[in-house]
Amino acid sequence: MLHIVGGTYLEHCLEPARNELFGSGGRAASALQFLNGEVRFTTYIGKNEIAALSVLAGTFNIHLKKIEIPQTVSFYYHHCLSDPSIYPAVSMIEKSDPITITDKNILRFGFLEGDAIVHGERVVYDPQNAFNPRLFCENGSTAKELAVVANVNECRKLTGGLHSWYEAEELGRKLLKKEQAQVVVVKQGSLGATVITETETFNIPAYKTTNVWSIGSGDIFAAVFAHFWASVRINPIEAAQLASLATAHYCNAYTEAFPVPKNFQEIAKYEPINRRNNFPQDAKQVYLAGPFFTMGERWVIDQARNHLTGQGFNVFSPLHDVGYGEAEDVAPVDIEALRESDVVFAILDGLDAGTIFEIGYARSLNKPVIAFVQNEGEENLKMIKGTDCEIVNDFVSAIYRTVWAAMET
Amino acid sequence: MSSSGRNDVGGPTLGNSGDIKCQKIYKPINLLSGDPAVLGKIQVGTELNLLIEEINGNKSLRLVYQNEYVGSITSFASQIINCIEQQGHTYVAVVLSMEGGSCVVEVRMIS
Repeated sequence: MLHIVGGTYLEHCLEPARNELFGSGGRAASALQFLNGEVRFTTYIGKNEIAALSVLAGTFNIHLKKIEIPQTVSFYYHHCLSDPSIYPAVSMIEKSDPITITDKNILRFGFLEGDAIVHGERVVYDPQNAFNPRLFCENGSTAKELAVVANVNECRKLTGGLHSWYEAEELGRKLLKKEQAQVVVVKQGSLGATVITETETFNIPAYKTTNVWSIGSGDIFAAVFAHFWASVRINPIEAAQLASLATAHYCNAYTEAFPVPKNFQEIAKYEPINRRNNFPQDAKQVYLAGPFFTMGERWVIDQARNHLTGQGFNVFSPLHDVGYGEAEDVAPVDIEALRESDVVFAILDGLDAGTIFEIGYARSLNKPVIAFVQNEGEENLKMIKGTDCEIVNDFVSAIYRTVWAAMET
Repeated sequence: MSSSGRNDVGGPTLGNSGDIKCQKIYKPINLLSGDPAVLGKIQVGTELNLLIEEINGNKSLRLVYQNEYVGSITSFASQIINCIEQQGHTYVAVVLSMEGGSCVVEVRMIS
């Protein structure tokens, strides 16, 4: 049995197009349909979404307790990696009275529209707050055994620490002490996670997947970790390893992987990402090839640059680093940067001549190329495909394939 | 995480099934709980039947192919259920894409 208390939110994604009612709590509760025999879920819900929440409960066999509030919060994403716009604005969200839960095994998520005061034997706490995460005990919650699952940014804010984003152990140890927790799991996206207990530190890998649908991946991790650590009661390192595997499967094979299949350990066969000891200090460089002659083209370039640098890479972007100019001024600088780069991320829609040239040049130097393209025919992609470029039609999947290629060069 | 508010809440609502206008098409909808064995038998353009089930007073909408469960849908499901049960419409699901790990369908009104 696991009692989940967390938000139910409307989620809209532009690319790929998705409109769903989940939120951290709704997703976690749904994800465990086949793994956990009895999931109880307590959440707030706006009156307009009560029927939809009922369908969620019916579809995923959830024992549901709902507290009606005026309006369900909505999240709008451009893509999986973008910061969402939230409606109503966070400062305008009416805070409802806290939910109080007493149960044996609890997974508690942070809320925008209220709070949850929990009292449990084994409790997993995921603060779910990029700006102002709160400590578990701050609202009077108690646990005989507590595991905090948080990302690096949340850990930094909870501890007031100034550690760099890759110093997960230091952050985790500070948080372990501050929360008086038994376990801290520091989530680090494509670098995996680090499990810290009083006596151990263990790095859990992330896994290389062909596709990446990452909205909600943190919720899946927390849910599966909570199931195995709190309900099944295996040790936290094994629980985190299973959580990472289930999360990879969710990201890669959404339709078949959500809810998490009972036999996911047998079917989720993914290669662990080879985490180099000197990454990201010894940061690799990505050459960002693509046209930038329209607003849409410049927006995609900008997004790619932001999210590749956000993963810890240096990015050479001709738009940002060279700009517009004469051929004799621009080309030598671009070629030099290509030579110095470790991998190329190419935006190929529109078949821009400069981008195609850069891909060919990179392949002649045996540099990996990940080509993001959604709307070109097979004939036009023949030489790209035939020279071992990775052709990817999903933006975030292309970003991650670039990350992994760069990490392993 | 941006805290910018949006005043233009456009786009489809997912849950309001009170007094709704039944749409001719609901799309795109991701299939969930997909059965790999049955998914292997369908392709883009395949038509799937809709089946309403009820457990503990909560309804769900499942997609069926040749009497086998393919999976479930939750997006727009409460609206579609209302249109079928309360307003007498008939719908069929059609597979739009099967790539990137996701099977995406649209649900079309037949009558």
